[in-house]
Amino acid sequence: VSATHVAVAVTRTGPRIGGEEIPRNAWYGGWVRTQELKGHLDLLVLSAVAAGPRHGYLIVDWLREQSGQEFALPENTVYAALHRLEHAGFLRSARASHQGRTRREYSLSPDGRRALAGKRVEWERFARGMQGVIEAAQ
Amino acid sequence: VTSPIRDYLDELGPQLRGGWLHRRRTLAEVRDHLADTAAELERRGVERSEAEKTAVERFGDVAASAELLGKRRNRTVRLAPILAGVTLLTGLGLLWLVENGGHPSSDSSNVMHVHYSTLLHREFALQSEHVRHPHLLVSQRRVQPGEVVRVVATGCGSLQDERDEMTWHNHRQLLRSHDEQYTAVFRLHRQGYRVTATFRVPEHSPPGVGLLDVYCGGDSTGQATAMLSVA
Repeated sequence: VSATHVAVAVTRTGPRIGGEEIPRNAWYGGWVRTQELKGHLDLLVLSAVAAGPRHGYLIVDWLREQSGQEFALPENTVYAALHRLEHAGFLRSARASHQGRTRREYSLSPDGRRALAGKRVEWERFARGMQGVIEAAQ
Repeated sequence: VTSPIRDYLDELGPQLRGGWLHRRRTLAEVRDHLADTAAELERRGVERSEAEKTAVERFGDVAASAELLGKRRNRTVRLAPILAGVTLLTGLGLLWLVENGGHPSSDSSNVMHVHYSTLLHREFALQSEHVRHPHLLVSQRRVQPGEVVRVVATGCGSLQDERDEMTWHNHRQLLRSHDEQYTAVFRLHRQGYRVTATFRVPEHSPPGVGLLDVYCGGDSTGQATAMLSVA
């Protein structure tokens, strides 16, 4: 079954996965990729601010650029992650001026730096495991 | 002239959950993001209204944004800021009585604490472990355009990489304008953790509610807001 067939099928039935309704106009492959990315959003966002303070627009732009245009999440999810990570004490925010405009910039707190290190280790283990399975299958 | 960004913000505002300060901050952040995206697209040759439309689409639909960016409230937790605010106000009142012997001094007789502001800040304080909000006092809350208001912020944080600043804006501008909503920045005087300023209400201020934001301490925790009523 091709991605196109799946897309047609889900559009007709209005399916739910894990209780979440798939947007009717969503391309199935794109929706799945978005869901996969959401699982790693904290790592992505923490990585984006690791190099220095950035405001939301730059974080979204950075993620898009660094992923070779692959990671184009709905941008509201990035702001939700920023707020959640700030609430958890992993990020700090402050207003800063950029070219005459004031923007809220996010930076890593010491707890955030530790969390990022931990998430990187988790990700490397996960990636090694996946790589092992995929290579064994070839 | 229709503006997809303005329409988006007008729709999002009423749907956002959470305290006033949270909603205000979130709307400002979304507005800035959409404006930046549209500006970048325009720079690449996209026509303005199309650029705004694309910016809004990329951000995500309004209902999803309201759900993702609204603050979920826990009924138990909500009691905490109210109790903290009442306790703080009672303490401040007692302190004032002790310091002034129950009589207003000639210097501070017309300085009042902006009560609602403290409650909002206490609520906001739940968001971070490292919160320290200043207390904001203004000489009057009902003002005329051109009138002078004395402003005192106590308990400001240490200066970091930003200077203290005070801004004045009309509350509707926050929703309506996707450019700079602030009309002016005023000079502040700092002595230790206390910041003072004399603020003249701009002549062009429309009648209604005006918001005076003081940022002292260089990060998001050094913020206090007073709501003034412009005649």
